[in-house]
Amino acid sequence: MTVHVPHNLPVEPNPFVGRARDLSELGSLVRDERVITLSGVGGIGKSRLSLRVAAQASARFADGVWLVEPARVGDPALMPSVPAAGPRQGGLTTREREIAALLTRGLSNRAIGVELVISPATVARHVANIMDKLGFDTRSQIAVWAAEHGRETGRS
Amino acid sequence: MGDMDERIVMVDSGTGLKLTEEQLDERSAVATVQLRRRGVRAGDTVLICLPVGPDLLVATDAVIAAGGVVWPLPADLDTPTLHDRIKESCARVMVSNLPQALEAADETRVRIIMSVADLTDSHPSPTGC
Repeated sequence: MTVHVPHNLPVEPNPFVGRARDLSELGSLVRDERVITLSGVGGIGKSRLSLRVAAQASARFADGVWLVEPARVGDPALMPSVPAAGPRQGGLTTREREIAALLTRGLSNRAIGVELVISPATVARHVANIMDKLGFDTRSQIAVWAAEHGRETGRS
Repeated sequence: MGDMDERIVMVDSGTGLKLTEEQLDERSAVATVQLRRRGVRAGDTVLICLPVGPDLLVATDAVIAAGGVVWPLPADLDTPTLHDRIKESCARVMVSNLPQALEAADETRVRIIMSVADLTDSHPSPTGC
């Protein structure tokens, strides 16, 4: 399966062994349910299992699969809205939106740097952050995304 | 506008292959993502042991863009010297294809060794095994 959808899942540090039954059960649950909770004592591999389930399910979700770390959310009241906002919405800073818009014109880091009066290395850093936030692997994906979201990314 | 990006930024003295500005930007952006996926975060030291050439340039740019600190290792050092330098760096990540560098990383803090191929977008999707 080589369908590529946007995602921010980390690379698995070592091989995933067995648990075929858990995977197939969860795979069908993901198809039918909106929320699934895995419970169990610490260290039995809930996170690992859910990441693998997410990766396997990615082919069915064209908008991508997204890992949201609840530890980063300080206020419990914000918990429902953080995953709902999703990494694809409004996550970009003004500068990142400017750079995304310039990428649609096929500009190099150096040319963008000249335009915005910042160094090419800074542009590269912003580009990396945009990729992180949107779960992209290449600059061209940013360009396509920015072109599609032209109204939000356009410079005012 | 696009023509400017055809500008050549490096010629590999061994192969004569030319690296354009556009290729450098794209390859280092892809490499940055791969570094981040393997956990490289702002301030992390990343060892780079590659012969001088386009791969070295791409890897260096990518580590900087990922927010990391580049710790270059000359590719022509012998294994014991490499080992000392790697230990000294306390780095956990190394980019290298060189057998002597891989050997020198034994019994150091290096936990992740990425080859040049790992820096390219060869495994784009998390689906399947």
